[in-house]
Amino acid sequence: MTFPGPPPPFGHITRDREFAFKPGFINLNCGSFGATPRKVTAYVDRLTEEIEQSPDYFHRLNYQERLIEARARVASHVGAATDEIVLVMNTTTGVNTVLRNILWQSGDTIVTFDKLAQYLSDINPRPTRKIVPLLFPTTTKDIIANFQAFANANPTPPGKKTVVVIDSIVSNPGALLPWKELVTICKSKGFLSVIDAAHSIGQEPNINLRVAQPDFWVSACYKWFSTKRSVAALLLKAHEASKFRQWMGGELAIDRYCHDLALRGGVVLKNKFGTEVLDPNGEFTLHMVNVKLPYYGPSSSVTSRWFQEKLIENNAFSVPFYHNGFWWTRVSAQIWNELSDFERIGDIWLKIINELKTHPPRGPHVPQPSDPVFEDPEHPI
Amino acid sequence: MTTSSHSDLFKQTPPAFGHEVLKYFAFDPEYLNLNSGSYGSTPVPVLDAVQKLTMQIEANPDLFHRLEFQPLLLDVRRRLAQLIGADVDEVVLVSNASLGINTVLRNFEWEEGDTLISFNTTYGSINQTVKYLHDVRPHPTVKQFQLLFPTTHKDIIASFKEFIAANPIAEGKKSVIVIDSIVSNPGVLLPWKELANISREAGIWTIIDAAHSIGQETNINLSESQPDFWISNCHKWLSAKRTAAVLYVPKRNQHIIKSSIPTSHAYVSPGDRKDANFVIQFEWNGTIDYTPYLSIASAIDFRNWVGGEHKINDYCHDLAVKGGKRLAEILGTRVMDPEGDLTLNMVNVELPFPGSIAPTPEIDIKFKEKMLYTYKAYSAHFYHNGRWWTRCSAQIWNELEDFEKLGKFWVIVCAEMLEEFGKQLS
Repeated sequence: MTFPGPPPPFGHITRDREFAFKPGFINLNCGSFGATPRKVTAYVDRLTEEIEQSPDYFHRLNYQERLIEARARVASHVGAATDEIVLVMNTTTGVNTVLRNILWQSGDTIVTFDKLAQYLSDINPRPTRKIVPLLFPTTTKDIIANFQAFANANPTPPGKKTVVVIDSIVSNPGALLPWKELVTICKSKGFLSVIDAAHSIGQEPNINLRVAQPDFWVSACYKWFSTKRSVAALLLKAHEASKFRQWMGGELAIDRYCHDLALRGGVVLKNKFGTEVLDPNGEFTLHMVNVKLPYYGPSSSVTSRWFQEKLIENNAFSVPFYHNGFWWTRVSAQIWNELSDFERIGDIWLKIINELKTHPPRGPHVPQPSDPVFEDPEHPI
Repeated sequence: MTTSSHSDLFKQTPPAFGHEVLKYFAFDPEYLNLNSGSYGSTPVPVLDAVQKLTMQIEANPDLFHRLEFQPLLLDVRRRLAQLIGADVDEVVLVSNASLGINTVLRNFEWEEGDTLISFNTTYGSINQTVKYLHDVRPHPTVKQFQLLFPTTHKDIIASFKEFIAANPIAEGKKSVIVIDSIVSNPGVLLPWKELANISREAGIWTIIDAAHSIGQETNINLSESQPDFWISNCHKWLSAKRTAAVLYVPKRNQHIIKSSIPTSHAYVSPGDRKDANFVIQFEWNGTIDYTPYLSIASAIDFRNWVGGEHKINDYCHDLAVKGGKRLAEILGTRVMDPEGDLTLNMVNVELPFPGSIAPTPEIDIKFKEKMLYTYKAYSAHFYHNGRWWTRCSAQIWNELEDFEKLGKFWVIVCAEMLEEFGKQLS
């Protein structure tokens, strides 16, 4: 399938022509659920029709080669062999598939924040669960040094194993980690590395797994790679998505636009708020920027959910989260965004925070988690 | 494709069953579909509702995934609970029956000396799951009950009783059995309630693989029959968008299902739980496309409009029986289940292809290719108990002449196959 005509320029023209957002909705949160371009949705509709014409034909004879093609495209994008790539439902399923297949023994260690590790440590043979704390603001150098110290202090006992889950890009805050360096440390210590790369494909350039050599790597194609939501169901959808992105200018052009916008947008917001960005050096920033909210009330006085409902009321979205003693918002820059979106959401945030100060929410107290880094249990990221 | 909205359509007179229904489905006009049992089919009004919902989601993904989907999911679970005679808090959705059954099997904390029981007719992926669980530590024992068709409910119950009596549970160990309510190949209804009772009396945990049940088996009343676990696909016979399945876990057993697969952010360590922590774990398991689950509401509306579960299944059952007889006449063979004990909406007829030719992947592909490419028709084919069979699914869009047409194709295809593969007989 070829796309007719030249692609639209990045920004609001792309937004209105190629995406299906409700008019007026300021979407600065591509990172959570992604967004399916209209051309890909249309393709999915055609594919659905094709399947319904003869479900047996599709499921018994046809889908396999199309699945191979999709896998081949993803593989070439990330520097892997086709046979090394399979498609699963979502990142959570991928990480679960890896960790649940490991033959755990008593005395093994699993290093991650993930709830899955909590479950695995609750059942026989109860591997030990450890956490490497990660507090922003910080620097790449410190993260690496910190992890090296952890690795030195936690050697694997003989005959046992250590499995480390490393985010390539953290969700909250939205930050690129020096994951390749951390993988190198894992290898030097004989740790198995599982990369939760949920946010990587379509946002992180030069993934090149052949060089980085993690033991396992999982990424969501619907967040930043423009496929239809929930990748296992996607066959040629990955194919169409990558063709759409080629037509829009290719990964390099997309990356340049989004990265630049994220940085400039972050500056706009921090100036508006009179606060700061989490990552002033830009070492952690790809297409997501984290800005401190101008609200310093006690942490128990508001919940992420309250912020979310207010944002949606105001027809805009960027993720609110609490980290290391402060409230932040994570803002995603995508090919449908422009700098004015950041201006407008900044004004909306100020309005919301003003409301919070003058009309604090009532209702049952919702305790804030005491962990420095957490995922808000009220909503998925 | 209809362009009327749901509510307009459902004010009109519904179609009569048979070919008049075809306009509400999206089949290739040349395709003869007598195999609804494998993948199901989505009525066009349900596809339309899914499309509409998709655009609603794309209009604001955050609004939908954070605030809007939960009440819609609850509504679907309520409707399903009502259909199967369960409490809404005992019903959650998973993506398909294989995952549902895996969720149960993988949540048991296995010990050496435990036993897993399945049947030779248990669905392939489930038997492989059982095998996998045996292959990894602590290597629970596996036992298999043999079921060979043709047979009758009476005989099945008798030999099952013997089997269970001959395999008592070891002291202090546990035993778990997977029982199909309706087997896939052949497509037959088992006396699953009786088998479950026999198992329960022997202290065995019962998992009912009811993949084919919802939308085909009427009068499912789980609070009465009380299986330990029950899983059914909603896209096979309940007209939902592919794929969605019900996982039923009665409250007394929810503590067994410690974690959903995959584990949810809502997971709480059992020692820390203040409630069952069951339903909430299945509400979000990573981002998915919610439209198949939510399509269940439109699917049930559609089915109610065309006549409701009893009317639908009376038609389909009747047609399965008549169609099977007619097909057997044309093929010059026999129906597997002449007494009708085992037949709901699927009927199994022997193919005119020698049982002495054993199945191979090549033969399997050739059957499919000939039927699907050349004749654009299909009913599932399979090898069982030394013979070749075909399983036909009777659906509301089918009529008797479909069985006749299909029969003629099978005659041709079997003759061709005999020519190609029959040489090995001499």
